[in-house]
Amino acid sequence: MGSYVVAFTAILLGVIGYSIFLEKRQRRLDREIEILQDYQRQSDLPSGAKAA
Amino acid sequence: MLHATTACLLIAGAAVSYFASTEKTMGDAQRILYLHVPMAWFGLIAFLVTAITGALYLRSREAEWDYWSQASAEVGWLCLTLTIVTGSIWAHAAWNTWWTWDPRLTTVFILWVINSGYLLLRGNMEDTLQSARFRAVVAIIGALDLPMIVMATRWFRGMHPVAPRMEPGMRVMLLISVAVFSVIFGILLVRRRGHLYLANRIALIKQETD
Amino acid sequence: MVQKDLVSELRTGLVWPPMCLFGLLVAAVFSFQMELLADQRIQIAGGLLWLATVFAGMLVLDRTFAAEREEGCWHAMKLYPVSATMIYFAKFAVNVITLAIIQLILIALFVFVADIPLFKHPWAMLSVAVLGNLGIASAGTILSALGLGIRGNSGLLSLLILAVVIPVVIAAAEATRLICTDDLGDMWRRWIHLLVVFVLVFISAGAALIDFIVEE
Repeated sequence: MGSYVVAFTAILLGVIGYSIFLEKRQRRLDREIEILQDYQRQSDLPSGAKAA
Repeated sequence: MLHATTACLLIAGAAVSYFASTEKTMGDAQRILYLHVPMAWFGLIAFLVTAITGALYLRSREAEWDYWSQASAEVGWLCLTLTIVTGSIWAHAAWNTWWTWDPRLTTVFILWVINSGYLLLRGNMEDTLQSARFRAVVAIIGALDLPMIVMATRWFRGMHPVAPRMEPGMRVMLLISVAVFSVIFGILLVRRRGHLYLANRIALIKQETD
Repeated sequence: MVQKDLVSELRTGLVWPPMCLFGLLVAAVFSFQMELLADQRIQIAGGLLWLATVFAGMLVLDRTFAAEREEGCWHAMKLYPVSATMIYFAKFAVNVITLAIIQLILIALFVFVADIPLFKHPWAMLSVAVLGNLGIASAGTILSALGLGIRGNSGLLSLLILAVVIPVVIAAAEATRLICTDDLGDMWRRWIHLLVVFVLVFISAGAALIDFIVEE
């Protein structure tokens, strides 16, 4: 049974490790996009105000 | 959320393998089959996906295909590595040897090397259109090479069990295991591809605002 | 174009001499080993011959496009009305010739110094040698074209070439071994078929894919 546990642990580590990497990357990308979109909105406002 | 999902699925995978009946000749270690076989299949399929989406990219030049290609190469690499690791562990438990150059092992190993080469190539080049093209070429060549590798290594004799007679119960367990892992890897793949897409959008927005 | 590469090589003598010496050295080391294993010699000679060929070849193959990349002749060359496929075939031809030289040296050494009966069946040996050569050259040429975009001198290309070419090495090695043991039956034919298929597939793939590597 021991070897099965080892094998399973290996898979666990691999898959979970990769998911953690994915999760971190996702959060970073989400943050970046939020910042950029905020920035875009702000730079749009003045010209929008002018047009109005 | 991603963690929770994959963790649950993995636990389900473990439960499945646990409840499967113990096989006579090889004992408990044989359960590794439920882990090892799906890994091998997915490693192979993922690489084929990498090659096919690569070819589609070359034809249509739509970045979408390239994202799927890259994501598949990553997830596939993970699968292949785990295939080799679990296979090794099983081999040691069953035949008291960590490795042997029999057909399937050799094929998986070479596939793993080519897959690694793909990822190394990606790391070496800047993320440009040229990089996407080069990677697609490598993937296609790798895929074309695969049948040759299989044939060459097979005609060379081997010791790896070829589809052992499986009791119906085992077959069901194996299918369940495959299904479980499909979901896991599917999620990982889609997530990863999403990243690449997002990253590209971000780059575009940055260009606009500059 | 073939002429240009050959002439440039003959003048600078940069690549071929070291490669030949390397082949010589490897063959020497291998035949030394084979003397120690006198009875097994015939069995392992095939593998050693082709290993030596591939390693010596790898020294050269990943430099196929190096001249173009390093000296910026690349842009000049693209001005010529020459299709990418032609470029592939030209480079392929040069590699075939280069590999043939390596093979001549290696085979000569194996036959005369290590006493391996490679010429028991001359035509058979010739076919294996030619097919193996074409196999390594076809895959090697297209993969080394990637060098046009890669940074640095990493062993990445050699790595890929070696991995992809393994079926050729196995097939050629086995075919050679069977020649030495006088066993030119079904199995031998199968290996030859595999080699032929490999060559056809990779020459076509190379000619087709080179476009994607070479385009702007």
